Amino acid sequence: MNVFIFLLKRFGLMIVTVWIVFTVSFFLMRQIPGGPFNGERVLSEAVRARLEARYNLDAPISEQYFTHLYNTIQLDFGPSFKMQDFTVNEVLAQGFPVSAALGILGMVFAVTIGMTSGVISAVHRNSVYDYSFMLLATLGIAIPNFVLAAMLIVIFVFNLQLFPAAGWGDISQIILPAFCLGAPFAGYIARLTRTGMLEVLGNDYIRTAYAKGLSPGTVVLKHGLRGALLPVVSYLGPAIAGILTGSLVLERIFVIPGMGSHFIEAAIQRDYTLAMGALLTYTVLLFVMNTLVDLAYSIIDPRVRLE
Amino acid sequence: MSIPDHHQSELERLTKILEQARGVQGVSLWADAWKRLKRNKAAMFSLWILVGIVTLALLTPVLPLQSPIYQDVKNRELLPPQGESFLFDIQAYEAETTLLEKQASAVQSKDTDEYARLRLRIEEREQTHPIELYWNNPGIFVKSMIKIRLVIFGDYCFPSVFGTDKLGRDVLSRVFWGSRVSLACGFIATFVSLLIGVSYGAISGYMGGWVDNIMMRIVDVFYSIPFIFIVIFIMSFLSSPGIREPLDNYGIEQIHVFFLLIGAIYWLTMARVVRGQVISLKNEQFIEAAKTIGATRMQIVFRHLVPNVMGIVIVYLTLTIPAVIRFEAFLSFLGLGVNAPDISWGLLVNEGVQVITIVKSYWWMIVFSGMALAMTLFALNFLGDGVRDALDPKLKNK
Amino acid sequence: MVHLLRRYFPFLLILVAALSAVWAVSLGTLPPAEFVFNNGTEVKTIDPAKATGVPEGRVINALYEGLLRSVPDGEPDELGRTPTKPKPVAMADAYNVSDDGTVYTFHIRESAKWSNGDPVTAVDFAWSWMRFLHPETASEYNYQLFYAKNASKFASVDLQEGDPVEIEMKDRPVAGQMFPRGTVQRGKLISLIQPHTDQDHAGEAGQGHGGGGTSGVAIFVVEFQEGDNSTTAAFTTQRIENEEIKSLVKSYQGEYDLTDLKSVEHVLFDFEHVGIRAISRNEFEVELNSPTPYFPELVAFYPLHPVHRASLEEHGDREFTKPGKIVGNGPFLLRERRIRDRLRLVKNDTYWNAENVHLNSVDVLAIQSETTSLNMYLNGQLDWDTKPPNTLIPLLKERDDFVSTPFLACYFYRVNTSKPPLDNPLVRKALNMAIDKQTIVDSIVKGGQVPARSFVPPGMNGYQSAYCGEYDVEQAKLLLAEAGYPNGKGLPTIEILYNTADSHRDIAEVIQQDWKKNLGVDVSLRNLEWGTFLDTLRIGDYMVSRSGWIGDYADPNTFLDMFVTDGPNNQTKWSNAFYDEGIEKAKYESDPVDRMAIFKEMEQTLMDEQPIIPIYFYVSLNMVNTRVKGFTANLQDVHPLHLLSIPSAGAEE
Repeated sequence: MNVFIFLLKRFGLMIVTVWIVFTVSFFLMRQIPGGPFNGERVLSEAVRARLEARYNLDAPISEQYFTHLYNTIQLDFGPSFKMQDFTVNEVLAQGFPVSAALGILGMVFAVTIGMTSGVISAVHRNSVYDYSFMLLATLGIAIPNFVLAAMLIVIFVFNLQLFPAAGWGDISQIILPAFCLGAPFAGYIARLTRTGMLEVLGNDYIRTAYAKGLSPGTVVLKHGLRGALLPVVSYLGPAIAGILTGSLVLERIFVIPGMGSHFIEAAIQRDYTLAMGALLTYTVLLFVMNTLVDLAYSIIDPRVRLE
Repeated sequence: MSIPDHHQSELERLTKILEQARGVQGVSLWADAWKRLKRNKAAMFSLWILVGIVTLALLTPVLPLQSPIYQDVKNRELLPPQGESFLFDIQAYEAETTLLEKQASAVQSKDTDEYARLRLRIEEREQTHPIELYWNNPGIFVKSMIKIRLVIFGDYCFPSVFGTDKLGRDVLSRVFWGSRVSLACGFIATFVSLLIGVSYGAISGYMGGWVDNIMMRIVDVFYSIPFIFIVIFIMSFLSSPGIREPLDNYGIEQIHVFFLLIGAIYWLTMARVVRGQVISLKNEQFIEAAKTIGATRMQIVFRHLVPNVMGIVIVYLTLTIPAVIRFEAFLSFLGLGVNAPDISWGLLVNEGVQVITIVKSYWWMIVFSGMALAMTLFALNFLGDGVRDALDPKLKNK
Repeated sequence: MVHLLRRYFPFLLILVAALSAVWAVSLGTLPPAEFVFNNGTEVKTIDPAKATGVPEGRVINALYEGLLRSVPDGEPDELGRTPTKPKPVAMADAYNVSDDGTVYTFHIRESAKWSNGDPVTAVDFAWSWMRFLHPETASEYNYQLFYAKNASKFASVDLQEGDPVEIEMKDRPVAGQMFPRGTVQRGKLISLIQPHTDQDHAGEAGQGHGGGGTSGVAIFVVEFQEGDNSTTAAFTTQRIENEEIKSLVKSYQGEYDLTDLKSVEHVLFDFEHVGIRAISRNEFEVELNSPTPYFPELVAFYPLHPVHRASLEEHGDREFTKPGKIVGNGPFLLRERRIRDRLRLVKNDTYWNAENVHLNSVDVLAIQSETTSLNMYLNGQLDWDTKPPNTLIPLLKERDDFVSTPFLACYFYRVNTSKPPLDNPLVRKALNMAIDKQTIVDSIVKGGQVPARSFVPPGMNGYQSAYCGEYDVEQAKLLLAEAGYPNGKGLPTIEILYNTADSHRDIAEVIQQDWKKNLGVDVSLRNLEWGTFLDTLRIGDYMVSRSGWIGDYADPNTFLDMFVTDGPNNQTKWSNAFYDEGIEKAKYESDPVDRMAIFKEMEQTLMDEQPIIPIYFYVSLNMVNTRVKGFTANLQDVHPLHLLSIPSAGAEE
């Protein structure tokens, strides 16, 4: 079974990746000035020593490394330094679904908007639709998403009053950030779809299909789209990494309590354990997604072999 | 010794062919691509826009702009765009210095005490010269450009047609000075990614076997590392005293390291692409030929393979530059980018986003910097598309 | 199989997308709360003993209640500020002070109840304060209670031979959990055996708040008295196998028998000899080292709020704060908590004064962006915005929902007095006088802040602040010339350190320009994010640094005792023996007028030496929906949630 060997290999590689990320960031974090117990009011040495003992920060660094590694293998990231009422696992468990929801919805926006406009552009090549869609697509790619977010807030929140300004909870609060998150990727996907479709539509079998008397709609959707799917799926890998990065900014603008906010805050506040937990989660996520994309790619394109 | 007859005729035939071949004007890949690029109006338009932007950025110090950093919070805070021109007070200042110098030379022989006092005042005035106040530690080159500007335009400054910011600084001037950092970041970082990516990919592809395998697995591993985090680490690492001081001694500023850092992140895709190209090229005859004449491995990689993958590399460059500029903006937005008083477009846009509220939107703070950023990225993207089409042999006759 | 997949892949993709989209939008929602406010940031903890910071205070004051409460009380002053006073309108319904001002007795009201129905007793307070002081809790605020007799000895494990001690055995019922404690034995420390070291670090660290204490390798010989018999035993908090302990035992040549050395959890100063005790079920007594006029303010301060012992011991030190498990005694209960999103508070019906709590539900949001917060306020998503952005304040000021007054906080620059040329007071004074503070106040922060000519903000009862001079460029130039740097000549570049937030950069840029323009001093800016910033400040690797201080209580001491030599919050390396003595003397001065006179003299010393440059006094900036009643501008910017009400909410529906 090719697939299983492939997955096994990938799994092995993932372990190595996670271990490298863990090790590098573990030592980097302890190199950086600033500890987790700094506040505006300075701690007395006695209190500091007690706190360090509580979080095992007074042990030799090698011992800390192995303890932490051992706990991490058991998926126990320890207590959060800064959010003292929670363990890292709890923080991540609360943040992950939020970010996932945002990311998925952003991706769905990107794929649906991108592919629809790509198909329309390809079918009506060199028409007004084509030009305006491609112009919009390039704009989507060119405008950084926080600028886009600011513009959309002015339009949809202030002027039209369609959406609330920020927050998280109901559907109206998700739409704007998810759209901003998906916009640049929608742009890329539109262009990829258009190019892919144009290539396919020029082929002989499409002409045959038309000749058989199939309706243009069927031809485009059944044959054309399949050809366009390939570049789009292969683009999803990098897109997922981009979605993760983009969500850092959008979570901040729209005050969304996802992993991205935890991630940045943890790094800035030197919350070692939380930063590590979030980092490893992102790493695994990215790896799994890349693997899934490769897998999907091999499914839709028989020429691609898993290695 | 005579050459057999049929050989003789063969030689003549070959010579003839050779002469014919010499007569044909070879069209190089580049010339051909350039021809096709010229036909692409959008790409050419973008190219001219970019040339314009880069030229303006380079010439910024000689343009009659206001000071990008001088604040006048009391009188000029958050003014909307306006056409009133602005004057520096530099000439008056220099005139006063000249006057002092005249006085000094007049008393030089008579009153040594008075002379010394005047000299001291002149020296002090050098210390507080407005150039120091209006521009942030300009280097020698930039300083001489500013002096040229002062000679040409005097005290005249272009009006604040882009409005002023919350510290009363001219937005137009800040957009111009910001372009220097943003563009430099885009180009330098991309250049770094080019160096790393091309060498890495070429070596990996050419060596093949287990070396290739390991090198590519390393790339895979890197692909799964969320780099934003590493950047946060390194940026705060760099500002720690133990690291900062030795770097300062070598004249390396945080911003330079920042360029390198971004470059070092963006080499991955480049490495993959180059590797793929090299693998398909390395069994070609010209490589075999190079081997037979005794070229070393490194010579083959860098003298024969790399030039042949330049096409695809250039296509990726035009895609990487906007990505890097956007990444810088993104970092500035998170407060991890350039430090004041340095200016970048990302910083300006971030400042603009902060003053968009229901109560009042100071739109000029975001519109102009955002447009400058978007226009550059837009043009780079279009140009990138154009270059790709132009270099893509499949599209040759379309 | 693969073929089939291949065929239907696009549909599969659409299906997955649709399903995940449905899942994404179906995440739980909460019904809206009656009153929603932005707390500015995620609270670090809601455990009173571990919390620090204003946002934490707002929540803890709603969930718990101390013996006293600081509430707005009395007539507003000329600036419209209502004074706040600690009053027995909380768990205590009365208290009295002994004539010498050192013994406080609080009477706890009969109707005081925990949210699970248990009565709140003096024992709860004694136990909670013990936990607050306990070294293992490592409370950052524990020095606030060091005014109580022997409290600092207990908290800092500062033991001498002859002290009464309590020994906690290694038999804690729940492993890895601090409470319930193991068996505690009480005795007298008769010998303290420590390895000899050349330099005694313990003494050095013992300065300032906290103290160094007896930690690390030590053997405690303790005498137990049972009737007429006395037994002795030896203990250590280290493991017996510890090499240093072993060698310590080996090299010991004293009279006591160390063969039965026992490893224990803690050896502490006996808490029964600390001046904190429950006399009866309702009577709680605190004995102080010296008369401390602001002690009631400290008692009302949230770190001294009690926690519920039984639930803490059942769920452990962290879990007991979770919704569903938390037992409080405040006006509100924690219903739900979403990290970096909101805390949902609901009215606590067992609260003694529940009939006067008007809000039924409150949402506490954690929005960091000032702009977003304001947008949400103006959009009707928030009722109270705690931090409107500076740029817009001139516009917001006109509105009648803008509530702002000066309060007890100062924005200032620390100057590192160990770095030349800043070691010269003349240079520091010149720098101070060359800053146009009025412009900073008018054009940058804009909220009606007051340019600071002293460090202690005006408005403290009976205190007249010192004075450090106006904005005077000519005078500043003269001072700088006198220091040997005419027109900034020869002066190295001065670096201003600030953290990445708020308007710190804008202010630093203005000051940079002021110094350059007025004095010819080259100034560079260094921007660090919060964590690194604090560390850099602590190790003293800066020249000039942005700082801020909010008074913990309405007394000059909270501002002035920072700058005693090597005080942990001094951080300027400034040291002045006269100043140290004065601050110490003020502690024991019982006459309020004399005490304030001492403080004023000390502050003047501080201002003459200028290790700090005061910039402005903060004002509280609040946007409050006009439908909210009971919101008063006051000196400490405290707005207890239980005093707020929304009249129309309940009545009309």
